[in-house]
Amino acid sequence: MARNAKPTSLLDSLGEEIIRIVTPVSICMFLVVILVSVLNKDSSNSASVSSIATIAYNESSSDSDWDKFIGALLNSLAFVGVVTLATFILVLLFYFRCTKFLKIYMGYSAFVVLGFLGGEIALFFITDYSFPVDCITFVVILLNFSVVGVIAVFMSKMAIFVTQGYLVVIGMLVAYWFTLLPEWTTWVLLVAMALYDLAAVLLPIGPLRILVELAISRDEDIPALVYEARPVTQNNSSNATGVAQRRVWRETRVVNSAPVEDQNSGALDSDSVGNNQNGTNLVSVEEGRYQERISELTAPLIEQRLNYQWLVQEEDSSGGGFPIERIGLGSSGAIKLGLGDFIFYSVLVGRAAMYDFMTVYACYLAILAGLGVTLILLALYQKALPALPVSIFLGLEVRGEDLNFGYSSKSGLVVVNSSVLCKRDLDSVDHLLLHCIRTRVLWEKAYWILQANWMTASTGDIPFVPLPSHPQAVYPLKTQGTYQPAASQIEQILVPCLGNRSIGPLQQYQGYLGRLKPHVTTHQPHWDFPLFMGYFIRVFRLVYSQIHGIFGVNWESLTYSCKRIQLKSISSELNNPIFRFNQSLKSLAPHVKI
Amino acid sequence: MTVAAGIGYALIALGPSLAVFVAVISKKPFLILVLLSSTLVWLISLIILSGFWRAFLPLETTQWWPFMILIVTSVAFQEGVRILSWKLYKRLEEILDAFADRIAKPRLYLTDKMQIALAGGMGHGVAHAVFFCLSLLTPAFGQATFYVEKCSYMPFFLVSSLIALAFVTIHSFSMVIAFNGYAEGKKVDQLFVPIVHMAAGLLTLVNLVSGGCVIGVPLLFILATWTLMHCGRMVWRRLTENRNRPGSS
Repeated sequence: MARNAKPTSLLDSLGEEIIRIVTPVSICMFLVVILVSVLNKDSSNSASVSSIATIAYNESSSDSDWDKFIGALLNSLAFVGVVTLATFILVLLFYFRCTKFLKIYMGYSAFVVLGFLGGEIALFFITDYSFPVDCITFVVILLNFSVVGVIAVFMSKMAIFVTQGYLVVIGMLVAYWFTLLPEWTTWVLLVAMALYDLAAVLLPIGPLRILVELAISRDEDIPALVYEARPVTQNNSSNATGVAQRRVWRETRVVNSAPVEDQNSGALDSDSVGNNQNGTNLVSVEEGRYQERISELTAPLIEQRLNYQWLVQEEDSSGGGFPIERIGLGSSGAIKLGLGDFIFYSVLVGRAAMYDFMTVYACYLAILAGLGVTLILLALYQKALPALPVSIFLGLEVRGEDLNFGYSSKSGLVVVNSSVLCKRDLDSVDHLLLHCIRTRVLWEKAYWILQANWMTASTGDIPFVPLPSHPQAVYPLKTQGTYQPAASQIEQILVPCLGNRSIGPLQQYQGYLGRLKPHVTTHQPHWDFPLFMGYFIRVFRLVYSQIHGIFGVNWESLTYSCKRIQLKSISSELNNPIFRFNQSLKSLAPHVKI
Repeated sequence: MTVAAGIGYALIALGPSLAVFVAVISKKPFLILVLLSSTLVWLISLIILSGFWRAFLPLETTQWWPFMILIVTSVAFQEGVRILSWKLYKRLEEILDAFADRIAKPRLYLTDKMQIALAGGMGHGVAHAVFFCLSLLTPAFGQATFYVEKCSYMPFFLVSSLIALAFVTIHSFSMVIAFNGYAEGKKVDQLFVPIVHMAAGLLTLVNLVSGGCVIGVPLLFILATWTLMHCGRMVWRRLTENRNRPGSS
């Protein structure tokens, strides 16, 4: 029967190289999304990272949109400036053939990323999930992990699967770290990097283009962190020359010693190259990416991060089937993608994961579409191409579209537990008191008018102001143990406020607040913070809404939110974040006693 | 109801497609690309639809007929997209055949063509499941569940997973039927697909009635099974015909 002797179909091998590059990109994005959703669970502004990307402006959520935009723009310009400088230094070093130095630096940066960034993230995991591990074990494991990673990246004789795995892990770690930047800065930075990529690769004075041309003219490899997929092997026995193990890639220049395969007889003409849009005849692309990290993460948190990427067409002048030893396997025939693209795609998707999973999905598809378009353009234009712009712009476009997607879908459902005000996070006492950007405006204004010193957790560190001299200071939480105001006592104090809806003199309310204070500092047998906060809000609503306008707060939904958190069913869950807040507060200011 | 339940709901909707993916589609890289691009196409069609309907949403009414208009227009649009993808597929087939000739490989087999159609349909189905079921599942990973008054027999998440499963089946296999219908020129197959799609869409309106999901969801599954059987019969017929005429496709 003809079926038994059927030769392998066309579909078996078509598009394989693209899939081999799409799979690790997808894995990296998936891991970053998981990291973002698992580690950022309890707050919408986690500790932000101050780094080169935020030297110009540190975003805080109470600024207006225009301020944030300008600040983000300044940040991105600073960042792109630093990256350009670093690229030029790299070009200079490459020109002077300091390749060894570059390789050692690459190994060093891989070590720093794996060791310090990986260690930080592992520490986040350990603190979040209370994983029992001691310091020495942790250090030993981390050290081993990083050293193996350096060797995998540094030396080309490692099993390719290990190398690929480590490159994906490095990309994931750096991408996760980037997602910790403030929101506006991240988006503007992505756009800026895409534009920079475009400029640096296509303009004649662009550093990446110079670098690529130098590398081609010297026929050397650029020492950089580059992900290389396994080359596709032809199992086709109809290969006349019998050098069938390695696919010969097309080139623009005719290679004199390359074996001519009969079926590719038209292939070596440079004319036909441009007409072919198929994946199997794609000229291998090489995007190099060099990353340099300098310092580690401690409280002052100055990181310098220098990245750039480019997309280079690899001239395969290896001839015949002799693989030239390069980074990874003999690289004739494999698609290479620079780590920078992994990182920035994952940053886009990771940021999207902070909003909604539908955004993630749509951004993922957009990025893949952009990658596909870039590869097709590469096949068409046969020159170095930037990989970022198309994907990032498609991704941003989709993300912009998608903001309302979850809510205006055919079923019209809203995720039930999201905070009614900001729709960004789960409703909880912690969120309403400390993190919700809408209510924080409320608290700050309300407390100011009543001249009580309120301690807010803004982005990053908590500005703790010890106030032993202010007797009317009202702290939401006590640093030692927990405070439990008795519900009945609060009611006694506040019922006069709630009973009549008229505004008394301001001092009266201040007096009430002052009377709340001893109750918040003494131990009581039961815990009813949600109730307390509910009353608090009602008081302030009465006071504040009629004295000063406050913009951006929907009073109805605030009250509704507070009522919801008073439900018994979730009160036990709510205690946890507060308790953790207690603990971290304690570590920050142990000397303060109320 | 905890992570296990969340994963369970996701697998109810996407489990069979995951099985088909691993067994059939992941073996051929080109099919993975087809799946990804058809997902993207479906997403874009949905974005266009939502852009068009943005002016009228949210539908504040409790009447059923605005939803019917919504569903009818959306299904009509998507069937139009299907015809467009058929045309694109013809172009792709020509390109692939020319390429196969150039490198002296056999042209596309019938099974290849049907696999491409399956991958395309599955892309649509997976996109539907992700957007209409998985997007709602985030609360299901928490500690409670959610019931809708009009269908209080099962948790809301379970109902939406089941509906998504039915739609995935319908989408995946109706693409195979449609492409075969256009290739062979059979009116029956060509009309089968839009009618089934429209019927399935309108059946979900039954869920608006209190207690309607008891009727609606099983009927949806009957439609899905019918699609599956029709596709199976058609494929069987074509393969046996093909076997009896060696050398043609």
